Amino acid sequence: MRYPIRDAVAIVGVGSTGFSRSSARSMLDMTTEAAITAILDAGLTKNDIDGLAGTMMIAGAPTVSPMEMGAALGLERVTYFSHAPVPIVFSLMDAMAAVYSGACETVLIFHGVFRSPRISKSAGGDAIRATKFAGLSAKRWMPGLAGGDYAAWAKRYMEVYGVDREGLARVAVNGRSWAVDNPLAVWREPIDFDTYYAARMVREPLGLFDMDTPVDGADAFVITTAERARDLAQPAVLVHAASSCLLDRNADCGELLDLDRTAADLVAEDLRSKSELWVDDSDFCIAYDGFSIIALNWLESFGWCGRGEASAFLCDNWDNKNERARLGARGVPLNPHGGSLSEGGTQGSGHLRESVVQLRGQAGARQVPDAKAAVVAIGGLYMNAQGVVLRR
Amino acid sequence: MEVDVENGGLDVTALPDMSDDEMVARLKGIVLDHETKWFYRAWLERRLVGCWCRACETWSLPVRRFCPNCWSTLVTIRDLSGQGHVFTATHLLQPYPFAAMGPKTSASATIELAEQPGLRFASEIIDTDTVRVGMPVTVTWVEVDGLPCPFFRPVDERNAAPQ
Repeated sequence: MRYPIRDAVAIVGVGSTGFSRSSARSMLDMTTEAAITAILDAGLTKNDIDGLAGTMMIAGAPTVSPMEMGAALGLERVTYFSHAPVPIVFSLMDAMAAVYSGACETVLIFHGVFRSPRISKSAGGDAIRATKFAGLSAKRWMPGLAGGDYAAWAKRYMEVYGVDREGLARVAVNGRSWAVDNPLAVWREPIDFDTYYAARMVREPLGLFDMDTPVDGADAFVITTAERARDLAQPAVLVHAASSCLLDRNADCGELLDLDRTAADLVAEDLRSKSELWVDDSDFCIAYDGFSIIALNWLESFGWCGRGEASAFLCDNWDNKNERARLGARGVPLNPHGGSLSEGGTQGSGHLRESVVQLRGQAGARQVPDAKAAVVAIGGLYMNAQGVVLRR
Repeated sequence: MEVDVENGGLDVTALPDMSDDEMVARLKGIVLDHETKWFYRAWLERRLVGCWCRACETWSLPVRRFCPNCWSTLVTIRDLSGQGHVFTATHLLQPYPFAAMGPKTSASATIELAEQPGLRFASEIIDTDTVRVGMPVTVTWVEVDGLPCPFFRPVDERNAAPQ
């Protein structure tokens, strides 16, 4: 397998505002704070940043463009910029390619999240915020899943594999148990299983604790060559391999042939061909959990357990005293930042940041002892399945 | 193989002609393009249609002029039987952001249509208390805001056509 970029690019800076449901800040303001934090964290200055890789959400939703970001930071000379969709690995791969090709030396990746007053009741009273969403008017109702596609797959998953909601519950409870020790997280109170089951259903069979929370906040990362990383302020985290895959059946979640033929499976296959490290080498497990069902699918696609077995696997690999998963022979943690379900919906930037912080040994009370490598799964089943392998 | 652009054209002879202006007026609020308009135009006749490729003899959806299987433009809009089974399903208890809440149904579901494995259409299930994956269903037309929409209802499994 030709894969020359392996270990050639490093993540050298991270910054985050943390995540909130009560902010009165603009997306640009939060993204600027995360960006400055990440650049200073790397031991760099504004003159060192010559590349920008930003993210955008659905068409028409508020976004911070690379142009706004460069202007806000006063960057004088940018020779590469991109504005990719979420999740975060699209921007990471843009940044990797830009640095490796020589288009620029050092890329700032930035990702802001901003509650829509339509999605978040807590944002509904913010009249200033509402002006940002004025272009997104309600469309005519049409028959179909209308955003319930992952819930619909969850029902199929449960019926095909003959499982109940217990595996989903374990993903949610595990996250909350960890988030107690994550100061960036929006939800830091643990929940028990009774609380999970008592919560209202939103999109059957997914309830309130199965869906990540809309939040305000931003994450940023600084990417440069592995060679340059050696001279910078933080322990370098090398990008060993990264992947985002598409199947032919990706225009709509309903197109996927079945649960055993997803883009997540392609990501696993692609990463395994490019990476010298795999899940047995991973000192913690990051499985994207924008919806709880997605985390179960990642455990299966990446081979932590067999197809349809994630629920039983979590049950068998569970620390009852601390109400959290401990996976495999080494008992590695799952989503030690609490995942999106607890930290807030970050479209994967939180999962990537936690991986970097853990590999640097800077995760505080939730630190995994001597973490050296991480196999990270981000995104969903069809149009945005992604993965990264990171190493110290 | 030559890419057939000039002479290839979506064969829409199965559908009565209608001007673009009339389609836009009668399909108010639906985002259309010059291929998918035929899919929704068929709804006005209470017909569910798909793309049949005359070159490789496969079905596809959504409506596109190039067959995604063989890239031929020998694509015909053809009636589907409206028979199928539930592939995935959910019940939405609050509206999706940016969309109006629709009529109360038993579930929102992806239907695997009987014509071909993997040929699917996302719709609504009505007339049942229990929706399960694999349940045989048939199309039934329900008018919503003046537009006939293809919904599905369970068929008695004992009388269902073999799939």
